[in-house]
This record gives sequence, C-alpha cells and structure tokens, in this order.
Amino acid sequence: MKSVHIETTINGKPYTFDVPARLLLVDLIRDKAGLTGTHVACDTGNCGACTTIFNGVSVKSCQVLAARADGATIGTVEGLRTANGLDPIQEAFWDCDAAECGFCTSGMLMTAVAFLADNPDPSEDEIRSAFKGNLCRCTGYLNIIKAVQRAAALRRASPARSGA
Amino acid sequence: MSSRESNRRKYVGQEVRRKESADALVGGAEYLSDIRLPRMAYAGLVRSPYAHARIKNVDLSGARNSPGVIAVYSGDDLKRATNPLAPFPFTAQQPYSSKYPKLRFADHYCLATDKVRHVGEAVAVVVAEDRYRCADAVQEVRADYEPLPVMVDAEKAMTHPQKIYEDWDNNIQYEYRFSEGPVAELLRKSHAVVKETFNLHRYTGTPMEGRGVIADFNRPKNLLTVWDSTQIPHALPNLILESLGREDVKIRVVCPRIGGGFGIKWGFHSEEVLIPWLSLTLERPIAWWETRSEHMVASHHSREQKITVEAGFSASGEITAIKGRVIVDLGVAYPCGGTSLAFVTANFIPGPYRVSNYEAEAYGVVTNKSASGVLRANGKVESNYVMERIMDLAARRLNLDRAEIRRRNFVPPDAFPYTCVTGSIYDSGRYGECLTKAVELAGVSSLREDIAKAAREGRYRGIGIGFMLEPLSSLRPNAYNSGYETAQIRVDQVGKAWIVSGDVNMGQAHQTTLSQIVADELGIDINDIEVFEGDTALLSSNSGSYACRFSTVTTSAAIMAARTIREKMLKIAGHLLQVDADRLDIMGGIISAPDGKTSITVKEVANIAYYSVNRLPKGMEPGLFGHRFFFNPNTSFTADEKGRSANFSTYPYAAHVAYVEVDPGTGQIKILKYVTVDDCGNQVNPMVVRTQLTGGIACGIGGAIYEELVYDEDGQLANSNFSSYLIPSMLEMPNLELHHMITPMPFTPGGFKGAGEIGAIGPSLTLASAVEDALTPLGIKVIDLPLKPEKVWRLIHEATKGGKAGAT
Amino acid sequence: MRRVEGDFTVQASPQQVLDFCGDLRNVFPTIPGLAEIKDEKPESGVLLINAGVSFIRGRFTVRIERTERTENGLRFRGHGDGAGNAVDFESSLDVAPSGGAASNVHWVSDVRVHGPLASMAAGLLNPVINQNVDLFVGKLKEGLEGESQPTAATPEAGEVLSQHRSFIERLRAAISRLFRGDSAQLNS
Repeated sequence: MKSVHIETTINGKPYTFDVPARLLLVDLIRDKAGLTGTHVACDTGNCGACTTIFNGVSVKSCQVLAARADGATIGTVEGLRTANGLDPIQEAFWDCDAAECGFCTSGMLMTAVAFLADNPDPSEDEIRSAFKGNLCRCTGYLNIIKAVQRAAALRRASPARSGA
Repeated sequence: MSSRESNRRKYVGQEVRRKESADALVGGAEYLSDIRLPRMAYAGLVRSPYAHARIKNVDLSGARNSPGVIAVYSGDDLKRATNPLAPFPFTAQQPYSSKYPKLRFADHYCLATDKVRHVGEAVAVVVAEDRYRCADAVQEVRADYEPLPVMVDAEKAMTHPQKIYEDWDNNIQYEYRFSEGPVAELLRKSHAVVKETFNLHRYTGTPMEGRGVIADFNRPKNLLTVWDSTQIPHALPNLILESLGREDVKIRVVCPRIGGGFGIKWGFHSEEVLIPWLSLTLERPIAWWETRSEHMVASHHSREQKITVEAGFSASGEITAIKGRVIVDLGVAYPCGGTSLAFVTANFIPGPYRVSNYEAEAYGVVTNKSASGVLRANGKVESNYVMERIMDLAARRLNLDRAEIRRRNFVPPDAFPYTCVTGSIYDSGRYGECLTKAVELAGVSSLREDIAKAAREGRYRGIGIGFMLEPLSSLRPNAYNSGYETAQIRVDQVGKAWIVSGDVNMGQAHQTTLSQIVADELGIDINDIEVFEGDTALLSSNSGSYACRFSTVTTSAAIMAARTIREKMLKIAGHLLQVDADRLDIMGGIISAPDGKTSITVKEVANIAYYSVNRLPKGMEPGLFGHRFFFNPNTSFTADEKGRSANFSTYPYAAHVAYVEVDPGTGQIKILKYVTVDDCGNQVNPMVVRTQLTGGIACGIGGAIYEELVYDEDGQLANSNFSSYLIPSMLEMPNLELHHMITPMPFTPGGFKGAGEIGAIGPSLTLASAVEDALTPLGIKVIDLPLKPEKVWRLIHEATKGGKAGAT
Repeated sequence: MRRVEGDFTVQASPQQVLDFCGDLRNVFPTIPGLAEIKDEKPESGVLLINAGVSFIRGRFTVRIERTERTENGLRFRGHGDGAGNAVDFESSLDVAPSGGAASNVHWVSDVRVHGPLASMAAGLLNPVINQNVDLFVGKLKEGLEGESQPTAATPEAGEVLSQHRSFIERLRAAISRLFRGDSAQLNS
C-alpha cells in the first residue's frame, strides 16, 4: 500500500503525517489529527457534515484525498474559537437555537464562515443557496438561516471579531 | 396554582439557550464514532445482495488472509454461540392475554444462517485493525446464494404460498381487530359514504448520525461496557444478555452524544448482539458504525401501509360510522417495534372526531424488505392522513366548508377527559378553537381573492387545511415501554444539583429543559445543575426516549424528585430558623421567611445536611436525595372485555394551513405560506418548542413531497444514498408562521404535552389538501404520496388532455 | 431486471458467427475488464473481471455457460459476484444472413443486479452497462472479422487492450482454423 508524506497546517498548527495514499482528508483530520469535531454523515458527498476550510475555500473533506493536504492550510470547527471567546457565528447559532443534535453543526458553521467571508451581507435566498449542500434532519433549517443573518450583522458591526 | 407557586417560576416558560450547544458548537461533543479506546478494532459486516435466498456457502478464507484481519465469523459460528434476538419491545413472546392483538415472532440470530430475507441482511463479520483494511477484507468474503421468489407487496404476501418464515403458516405477523356498534348497518343507512384506499409509501428518518455500537469486555472486572447510539439504553442490558445467553456478565450501556434518532434508533438490532459478542470473544474493544448506504438497508424504515377507510356521513356532515382496514408492510420480522404500527394506526383513525361506531381490522405482514419500525409520530402520520383526506372528500361531496365539517365532528372542549371508541382517554383539548384560529391567522378569505386572481392568469393556487391529534407517551403490557419514568436527583454538599434521568437526549434539549424545571422546583440557579442521561451504571429505568414521553413522565418524575428534596431543605431550614417550614420559600438559592429577613442559603443547608448532621431535625437522615417514579396517567395495561385499551396518556394537537402554487409545467409545488396553531400544553422552553416543531415539519415535508424508498420487483432498494433519497435541504424548507394555544395536560404536575413529533404529521395531509384545492378546476383527488413533481405533472397532464379526472 | 439488447452486422457468415461465439474460449478475451481466466471450456468458464460503477467496484468472479445452441442462435447464462454485489444474466444471440458473406446478429441480455450497485440510480448504471456492452460487441466483431478497429479510451479498454494483445495471436489462430474448416482443432 503506497504511503504519502504530508506536511500541513490545521487551525494554525503544523502537522506531519505519513499515511496510506488512499486516506481521505476527513479521516486525516478525525483519526490522525484527532480533531473529531468534523463529522461523516453520508458516503456520497451529499450531506456536508464534513465541511472544512481548505486554502480559504469550503470543501467537503470526504471528497478530497489526504494527500492534497500537503502544503495546504486547513480550518476546522475546533479552530473557530479564539482566546477572546466564541466566533460570532458560534454565538449567533447559540442565540438562534440553530443546533439540536449537533451532528451537522460543524459543517454548517464552516460553510457559514467561508460564505460570510465572501458575502458579508447576504439575502435570504443567497443563504439558502449557499447551504444547499449541508443537510440537517433536526432543526428544519430556519434557525440556521436566522443565525447566519445574525452573524452577518455581528460581523459587520465589529469586523475585528470575524474568525477563521 | 398558588401565588407562591407562580412566583416560583423563573426558568420554565423562558427561552433559555441550550446547555447542550456549548460543546456542539466548538466540535467538542463526543459521538459514538469519536470514541477511541486502546487496542480498539473495527468490525465490518458482509451483507446479502439478494432480497430472498438460501445461503449455500459462505467462504471466509479470502477475508481471513486479508492484511490487518483479526478474525472472521459467519452465521454458523454465531448460531452456535448465541440465542436469537430477544423479542423487543416485548419482554415475553406472548405479551397479550386478550384475543387480539395476535402476534408472533421469528428467530433471527445476529448473522443469518440458512436464509436471507432482505437486501442488507448480515451473513458474516470481519474484524480488522483499521476501517479501511476491514472494508477491503469484507469484499473478500465469498457468499453463494440460491435465489428464492421475492415478495414486495404486503397485501399479496398475506395469501401467497411463498412463505418468508417457513415455520409460520402464512406471512402475517400481527393481527388486530376491533368492533363497536352496528357499523355495516349505519354505513348502509348513511346519507353519504366516502370510501378510499390509500397506498402510503415507505420512507425513513435518516438521522444525520447513523447507528453504531462499541463494546469493551474487561475480563478481570467481568464488566462488558457497550456504547451505543440508541434510544433505549435501559432496555439494552437485558436484551443483550438474553440474546448472548450470558447472565454471568455485568453489563453497562452508555449513550454517547447522539446525532438524532427519530425512532430509527428505537429497536434491537443484530449488531447490538454481535459487537458485544466479538468483544467477549476477542477480549478487545470492538467498534462498528454504519455508512449511510449501509444505514438505508440495515436500519429500519416505516410508513408503508395500505389503508381502506369507509366513513358514513349525515347530510349535515356528522360522522355516523367508520370502517377501517389497515395492512402494514413490516419487511422482515426484526425486533424493532414495527408490530405496534398496525395497532396504533387502527386505534386512531377516528382521531379528534366524535365517533361511537367503529370497526377495524389491521394486519402486519412480512415482506422481503428491510424491517419497518417506529418513526416520528409512528402510525399517527398514517392515521391522521387518511382521516383528513376523508374529511376533505366528504366536505366536497356534501358541499360543506372543510373547516366547518371538522368543527361539527370534533370532540367538544367540555367532553374531556374523553374516552374514545377504542378506549384511549384523551386528556384535554380545544380542537375547534385551534382550527378556527389557524384559518383566521392564515387569512384564508383574502387568500381566496389571491387565488381567483391567479386563476385568471392561468396559475393554480390553493389552500390546504389539516388537523392532527397525536397520542403520546405510550405503554404496552409485558414490554420495555413499561409505562413509567424515573429521576434521581442529588443536591450536593455545596448546593449543586445532579440529575440522572432515564430518558435520552438526541437533540430535544433534555438537559436544558430538565434544568429549567428542577431549578424552579429547588429555587436555585440553572447553572448550578448538571443532567445525565443514558448511562445504566447511574440509574436503572425501563427504556428511554420515544413518543415524547419526556414531557409526560420524565419531567414529572424529575419534579417529584425535586419536590422531595425541596421539602427536606425547607424542613431543615425551618428547624434551623425556628420558622414553620410551610411559610418558607426558596428563590435564587436563598430560603427565606415571609418577613424577608430571616433566611439561610441552600448552600448552607446542604453543607449542614452532609457535614453537621447533629443540627438536623431529630431522626432525619443526612443528605439531600430524591428518587421518584412517575407513571403514565390515564392509561391501562390490559384491554377490557370489548378490546378497548388506553395505551397513550397525552394528546397534543395542531391545525395547519398551507397556501401553495402548483406549476403545471413542472409539477412542482411552491409553498407560499404555512401557518400552524399548536397546543402542546405548557411549554418549558418556547424556543425549543418552535425548533422542534420546525424540524418536525421539515421531516413531514420530506415525506409529503420528496422522500420515497423505492423497491423493485427483485426486492432491490433503488435509492440507498442521499443523492437519490432526497431529504429536504435548506432550499426546500419554506418559512413558517407558528402560533400556539395552551391547554395544560391536567394529569401531570408540569402540564406539558410535548412538541417533538407532531410537526411531522401535518405536511402530508395539509399539502395534499392544498394541491387538491389548487387543482379543483381539474377535478383531481389527491390520494397517494409523495407529491413528486413527476406525479403531480402526470395528474395535471392527464386531466387537461381531456381524459377523466385522475387520482394520485 | 434490466433488458439490454442490440443488433450489429458483421462480415462473417452465420455459421462462422455461431461457431466462433459458440466456443466461449473465443468470447472470453473480448470481455471488458477481464483480469484472469480461471477455468475455460468451450461451453463454460470462470473469469475474474474488474468491474463496477463509481466507488462500487472490485474484482468479480463470473461463471458463464452456454445453455443452448440451435440452428440460428445461442443461449447463455451467467452469474457474477464481487464487491458485495451479485449479477445474474441470461443472454441470447440470434443470427441471420445479411447479403453477401455478412450476418445480422441480434442479441438480448436480461440482467438482474443485486446489492449496492442496484441502488445507484439507474441513470448511472445503464450508461455504464451500455458502455461496456458497446466495448464488448466491438471486440467480438473484431474477433469475428479478424481486423483491428479503433477502440474508445476508457480505463476498462486500457486493461482489455493489454490483455488483448496477449490473446490476439489466439484469436488469429482461431479464425484461421475456422476459415480452414478444421473442426478437429476447434476444441484444442
């Protein structure tokens, strides 16, 4: 079984791995780096629970080979919180009751972070479209929409607090 | 409620942020697949590709020689070493002493031996050092099958000579009959009879986290610890030990954080025997969790029923009599609770309507598909749907307003507690007021103008009206849902409260809401409370989370346990302050007398209760503990001589109104407005109630329009992943207008009824009503679901071509 | 159950087509994804074939047998399993003369797919089946006509081509035997 050498940065911390070539990025993050906040909820790339930020872009990490992480900068949900507290998106999710069982939540948060970085003042339709690749079975989505709108407002009000 | 009690409420009724989110939002919640134990190995299951076949041979040699493999076993190995799966949800194979229901069980071992009976049935297991090499080795197992004829139609299977279980005389697993009143005669004499047959489609719950089990046997301690993403941790120790035949071992079941359940994790599954057996045998921690496509065949489904309803009406729309015939497609006879579906649906077809004459026959039939079990509002999505369709069709036939015909038949507010014809005792309700309020809030009269305007532009818009009653908090005789819940509370030496409850949190905010309730009862700060659920080492209880029983029995047990402690604290304080305990109150952690000056803190009392026991009242034991049980009110275990039984205690209800536009070119339904009025009794946390209702409605919309499990004639499931089994995404979810009424549950201390499931009932019946209304010019009837664009398009196409008006 | 069927015209007489296809040893090398022939006789064989759709792929063990030979046609039956799937098929070939030294061949295959492959949307499975069928029929025609034709560049084709070169000599030899009408050597 072919092995690859990976040097990568996750949440600002450098990591070195030697792993099988076929390892998926989500398994690198969960099993090798031990960051289990990113979840796997399907096997066809539909659900978005594995969403992370890869070189500034949100990706479904089950659709990327770990080998691609070499030289890349990766952000996961564990990296959102800073010494100053929760990221505005996390506070907004909490205030708007946007998490129930929590299994889709990290994927939602990462999609939100990447989306708001590109679109700081989104319309409701733009939000719905941006999250169509993140499935949830508990909340019915409406609180998540409100949370993203609230986070957008919080970020616009104090840009210095915007994370990731 | 006394003024003191009303002053006591500080948290209940408030929109407190969920405690549970603290770790979920930072990626810190530990789900089953996040657990890592030293020397943990991974199990992978070899599953049958055939729906019905004899197993000729299972060749494990290729897998045994695969890299990283520790052990491989087939059905024969497990049959020698274990017992068949215990008959969950019943504790005995013959639970009923009455004539009906009739019920039988099949012997399923955790791996199939002679036959496979559904696509996905497990025939072998591979254990390996890591998941990737485990998956490689699973592919190396060679199983040879001799295909047998496949049964995928439940009604045909009832009389077909091909038996799925060869020791049964036919394919009927469950039979229930009920009869009250001269139904046939009344139907004959009725002014109008509405009769329809509904083929309700199969779908499922797909929690975002699938099922999984980790087992770790510690031989020196003789302790088997099982982590399981399950709704029934307190039933599992007994179920596992019985199926393993190992009563010598101590077993502890722990629920990690659970990523959704919805009934799909309420059941007893092969892996819950197999994984513990592997750990006992190999003496290592063994882990298994399903992939999504594995979940779609290995976990259970629901909703597939064929229901014929015949209802008689007077000229002014009063129901005279109802006759129902229910055939539930059970798939294989696994112990996952599907056997209750036929009973629940048949019992509640009359629903919120005054019906004194009712006849029902109900069957649960096995077929070569994955097992059917419970799913959010199980049996009641089906019963409400068919009755509401009948009411709409009756309104059309009799030229009555759809809301009015319902109002004329509702159980009136002064009739509660109301014993319905099948014996259930409905607790409280104001059904007519609820429906009227929904219709008014939706602005139905101005919507009618809108519809007329749209019609002039050639567009089809319509209004759907639906009412739903949901029986909750169930019990069964000789079953794991044995009708009570318990809570164990301890206030410690520094005044913090520790609660252990027998329920299970899967996203319903149990920790938060129990903290709110107990904080109010004890008069302490909500942040001084910690809640534990789902650990059998901490508490012995009966089952877990289902049928929204949390709102009825779990909260009540917690309230009773908290009051035990409260009384004791007040007695101690009274003794120390020389004030009558009855005159003391607790607020914000301070116990004070009416003069406002004489007081002592909860912390001080707690400290004394443990460390200065000489200062306690004479004869009083140290400590501050409360452990109480609360039993389902207005229920009974056994049926009476007429077969009437009361298996549910609590009855929330709701009215939904939907305003839709149907696109004739694509068949797509656009939901322009969706208004609800819910009565779930008192609300602990209105924010959580709204989220639960929204999530339930999303599930309901999935089942109404998008979700359908498609089996072909070979019993192959055609859509076993999220690219072809379509659950609603953010794009499909409409905005909602949620309103409430509050009619408390009169038989519990809290008065809560529960909002976790009822949302799932509404969309199918309300959207069917709306689409039918929108397509009134074409004379279309909506009978079967889902209302997929293709289906709706065909209906419109056939009707507008000049053919006869169609039905779905 | 899926039915796939088609027609093709080949520059060989009906007798040649029936003789060639009736001896499965001529047919096996033309199967896309062929990795190994474990056992072969004129009337049956066991093959290892690399096949699949999307991420559901692996090495399939396939048993094929000829069940019938009539004046104008052939019937086959087969079973394959691998990667947690099972495939059962029944196929037929009917041949008629088509003017000159050519034949029209009509083939039908009823395929039952069991397992995860069946739950891929039919939209994915059918194109892959059709693609492989086109490849297979192309190779069969090549074998029958004894001349090489351009083939589609697919991963399966790449594997087959490398196998194919090692079998091309056998094909040429078989065709020569047919044209010489040396029936004794057909079974060698």
